[in-house]
Amino acid sequence: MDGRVLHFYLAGINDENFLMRDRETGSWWQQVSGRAIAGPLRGARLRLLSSEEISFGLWRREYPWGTVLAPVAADRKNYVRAGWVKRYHKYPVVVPLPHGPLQGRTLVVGVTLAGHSVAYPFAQVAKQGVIEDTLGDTPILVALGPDQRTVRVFVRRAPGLPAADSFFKEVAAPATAAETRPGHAGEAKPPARLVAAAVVRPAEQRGQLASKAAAPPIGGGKASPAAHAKKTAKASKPFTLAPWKLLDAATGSQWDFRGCAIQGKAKGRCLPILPSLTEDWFDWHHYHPESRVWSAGLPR
Amino acid sequence: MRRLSFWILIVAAVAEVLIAGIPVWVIRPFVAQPPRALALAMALRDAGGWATLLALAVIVVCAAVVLWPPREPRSGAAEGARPRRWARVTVAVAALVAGGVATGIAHVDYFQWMFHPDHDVRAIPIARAHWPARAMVLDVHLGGQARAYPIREMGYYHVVNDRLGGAPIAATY
Repeated sequence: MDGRVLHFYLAGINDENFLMRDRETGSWWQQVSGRAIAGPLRGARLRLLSSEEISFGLWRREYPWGTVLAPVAADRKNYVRAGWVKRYHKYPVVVPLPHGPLQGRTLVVGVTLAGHSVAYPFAQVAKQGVIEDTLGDTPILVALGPDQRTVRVFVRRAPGLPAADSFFKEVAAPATAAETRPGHAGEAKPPARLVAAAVVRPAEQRGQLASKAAAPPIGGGKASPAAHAKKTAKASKPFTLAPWKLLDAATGSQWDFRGCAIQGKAKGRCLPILPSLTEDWFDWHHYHPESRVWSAGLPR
Repeated sequence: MRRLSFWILIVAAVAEVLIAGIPVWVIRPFVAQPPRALALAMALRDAGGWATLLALAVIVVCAAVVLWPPREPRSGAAEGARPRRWARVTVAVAALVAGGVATGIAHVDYFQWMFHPDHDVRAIPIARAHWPARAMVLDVHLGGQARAYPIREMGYYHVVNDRLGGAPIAATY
């Protein structure tokens, strides 16, 4: 802050979001906003770096040269257990909530851009895989990663390319009962199918979309067992990095989860990634009261 | 003099309890923090260091006066009006204890008792990080470097002061 390096420590809690103080000035900072709410630096705001919650498996594939915060042996017994967040669901929500479909501790993926905010219920993102939306004037794309855990938000417009009106996720077709039974391994695999991003469109466009989706699959039959296992498994599903690609309607290029085109006309170009925050709905709403909630059934 | 000291002692002890106690009460988890109550609590935390010491000094002086053995023989008239000795001793000891505890609370960051800070912030290469693939991490990349902050560690530390890509950063969760 202004050329001075600050060191922070945990100092309290405010409406279920923690407060920290800096050792240098003793100012009080709200964690979620990075804003000093009291003390000598009141009103100042820390520069927010983009960060995301990502599975270690996917992260080490994307950043094999990256480094990891070392565990401290003495604290190891205190580290929160896997799945600890679920325990918090029983605690009350202390801030006022709007009437709406979401419970206070529903996990949402929040995005803010130029004064517009939207929250995507994590369960919806997990179900749809890909959600196309528009935030303000910016077409965006919310995608669940190949690890089924990481969510990324992209601007659905690559610099220097015609705006792609739609992206499709190539996924494996759901297995039939016969396929899952042993002894039928020789059966022909179903072709991969394309799943349109969950966008609500006028009826005539929807027909067009359906015809696109029914077009011969690009890439051919690649229904991998891993993808199938991943689709059907429940909460304690094994970790897999399934084949993952998006196809855009404008150029037919293939895009990976980094948001970069790996094949087709757009090859080499990347979609800008927007910062997003995966957190409880009550906290997102508390700090973004103007935020709308994305819903599969509602027009934009 | 002794009587005045007795009442100053009580006022100082109450002040100690309020200065240290209000922030503890207001800034507690799983309740809402009304903005004015929070502002008061933060102000009391800021001023608590010297305020509790000052009040403690007042308590010590007043307690000494109150507890000093009476030199003059008791007169029958004053007997009824003056607090009895056992009551004075009880109040003085209680005030000393309250003042000591309150001063202690005002001088420590008790939130760090529950969540110790990371005193040994280091980064290790992926090959030496033994987290399962499904473990979630907080990813930050800056200046050509990428660092993962495992959520299970961050859920405990909440704040990690680190350097990445040449810049001082605070990873928070």
